[in-house]
Amino acid sequence: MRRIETNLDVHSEGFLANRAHNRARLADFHRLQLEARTRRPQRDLDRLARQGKLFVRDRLELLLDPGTPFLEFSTLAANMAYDGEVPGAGQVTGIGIVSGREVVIRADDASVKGGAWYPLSVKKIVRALDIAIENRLPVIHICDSAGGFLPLQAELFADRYYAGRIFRNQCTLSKMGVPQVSIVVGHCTAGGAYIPGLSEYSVIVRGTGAIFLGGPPLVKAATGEIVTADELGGADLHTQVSGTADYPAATEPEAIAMARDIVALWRRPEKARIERQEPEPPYYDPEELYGIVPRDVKVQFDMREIIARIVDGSRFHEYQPAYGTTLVCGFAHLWGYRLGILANNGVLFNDSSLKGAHFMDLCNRNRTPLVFLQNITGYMVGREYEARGITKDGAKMIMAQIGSVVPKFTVIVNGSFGAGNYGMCGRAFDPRLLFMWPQGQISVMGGEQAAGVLSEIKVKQLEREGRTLSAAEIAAIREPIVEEYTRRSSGYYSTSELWDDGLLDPVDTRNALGIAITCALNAPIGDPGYGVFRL
Amino acid sequence: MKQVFHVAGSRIEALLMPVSEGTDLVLGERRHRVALRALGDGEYRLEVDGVAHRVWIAARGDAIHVHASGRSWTVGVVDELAETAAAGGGAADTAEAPMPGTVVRVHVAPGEPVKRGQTLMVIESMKMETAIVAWRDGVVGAVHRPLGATFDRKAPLVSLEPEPKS
Repeated sequence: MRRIETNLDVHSEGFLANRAHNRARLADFHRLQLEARTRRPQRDLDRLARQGKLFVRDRLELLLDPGTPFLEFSTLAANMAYDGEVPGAGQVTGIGIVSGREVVIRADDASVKGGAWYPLSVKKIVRALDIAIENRLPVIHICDSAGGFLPLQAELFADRYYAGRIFRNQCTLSKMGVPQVSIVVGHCTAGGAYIPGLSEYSVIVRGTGAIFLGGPPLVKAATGEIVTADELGGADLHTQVSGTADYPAATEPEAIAMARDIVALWRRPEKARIERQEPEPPYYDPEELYGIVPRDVKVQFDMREIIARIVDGSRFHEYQPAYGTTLVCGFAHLWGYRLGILANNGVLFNDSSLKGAHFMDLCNRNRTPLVFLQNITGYMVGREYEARGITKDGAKMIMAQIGSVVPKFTVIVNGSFGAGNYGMCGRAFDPRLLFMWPQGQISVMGGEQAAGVLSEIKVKQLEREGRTLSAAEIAAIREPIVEEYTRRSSGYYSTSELWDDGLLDPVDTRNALGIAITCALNAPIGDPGYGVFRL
Repeated sequence: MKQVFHVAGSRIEALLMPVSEGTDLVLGERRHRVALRALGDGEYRLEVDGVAHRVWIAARGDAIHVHASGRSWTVGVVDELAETAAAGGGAADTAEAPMPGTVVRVHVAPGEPVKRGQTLMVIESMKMETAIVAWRDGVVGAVHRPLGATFDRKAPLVSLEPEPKS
């Protein structure tokens, strides 16, 4: 496999300007992420200390195997919701190594609103369990939640993918033979009580842990009975009397150690076998990615330069290098695993779409996982391209994806617009994991174009009412539309709403994909089967 | 499999061939019985036709540094595919439009020397700006489309003077 020959001039003005710009942007990202992980109002930390409970990050530290990576999901979930008061949506989720096993960890963060579940918390939990189901990964729950956030109950309780889905997913995992352990270090109230209830194993801390359908205030209101939390659903009641929980523990560290001991009992899965060779770091320095990503989303760059800084030895076997050149397809290795990569080098034409569909089928037939690197404005428009059937060729890409059985992974490297998002395995097309680089943008069409259309409609409407508008008045209508559109197409908004599994510093992409692929192999790979291709 | 190396300016083709008594190193017509054993920390025991040598080997990128018998060599591993592709002659002399669009910037004029990777022209299409960069060192032969011109896919944009045949 040949090494990609770089065309990058690392001393050029453009490279240096991009690098300075991106480093500043990423410094912001890392600061926001650190704050979301650790910065809490003092009174919330004091309350935890008073209750004799550990901060969620310290719990993770005790749980994970020392020195192993933790791939955390959606660190900036809810960063643009609830006035920014629910960092990480009050949940910590990710893939980590416990007692030598790959597991999904899902932990309530009681330092955020007492661990209450907001609508986006529920979305984050459901997503973590979906990841566990798709990759057959066991789950460790760290339970410490006040329950659903009542003022927003209408947005988290009843719909198909709302809170009930958490428990549905737990049952699905159990049915698949994928075990779960709950560590009850705080309250599990109402629906939350089902989390330990539906886990194969549960450990509960004496004094602080409690499981009940209705807490003491509700019981008092409902029946007049006055009872303490410990009497109602504490460790002794559940491990000695009700059988709802399995193991009592005197302290949190003991409970976590017990959970580690339980995980060590689990059977190690047989992993799906794919082609693998000795891993090799990229030949080109991944830090150079900062100089490639342009300051302006409109500026195109050669995606091979990105591939060269992510894959083993920067080696890439390009498939059909002269055909449909706006979609770069080819084979590479990452952490030694052979992958098929599809990366955008411009708008999708008929030939590039056909090439993409064909390449996906090829990878499915030889059990090669797919990685999509998105920087896509969409499919080519215009009479000539419609006449050539650009719509049916784009449809083929989507059909090939849904027939795919090999694991798929998507990284939104820069732009993700319109149907291009679909063709390149956007969220709706079930990539096992989807990451986004912080400067990335995502929307149904480009921000300026959409704002142009929207403001034009408004201006026309006013003109019909007989008003003539000055340039300043038109700008006054247009600007807030552009601003709002831009805000809601940013990477930060995407990750706030959990349209992705997290923002990634570009240099972390290689390891994130490596962990993702390793974990994906816990699920077997079947035989591809497709729907009807419109040929 | 045959491997190609560059050592001290020469191109060497070598082949390791398993034989019943061990391994033979095949260099053209010559054959040597060889064995290599790692002693740790970059040190190896190399046996060639029954004579043992102590060698030190360190690899960095494509270069392998070998120290033996008081001398050092740098061995370059040649990718056969890259070598054969390069021998097939250079790329075309003209950059064609990857998609229909408009010329939004022109950075060079005919006769100007350019370096590989340098931006020659910037085009805009479907809301994206694409730089047309020099695919090799050379001299600009022609700029086929002026600023503001529109063009179809595959239209010629910029040519470099043909490479002198060596």
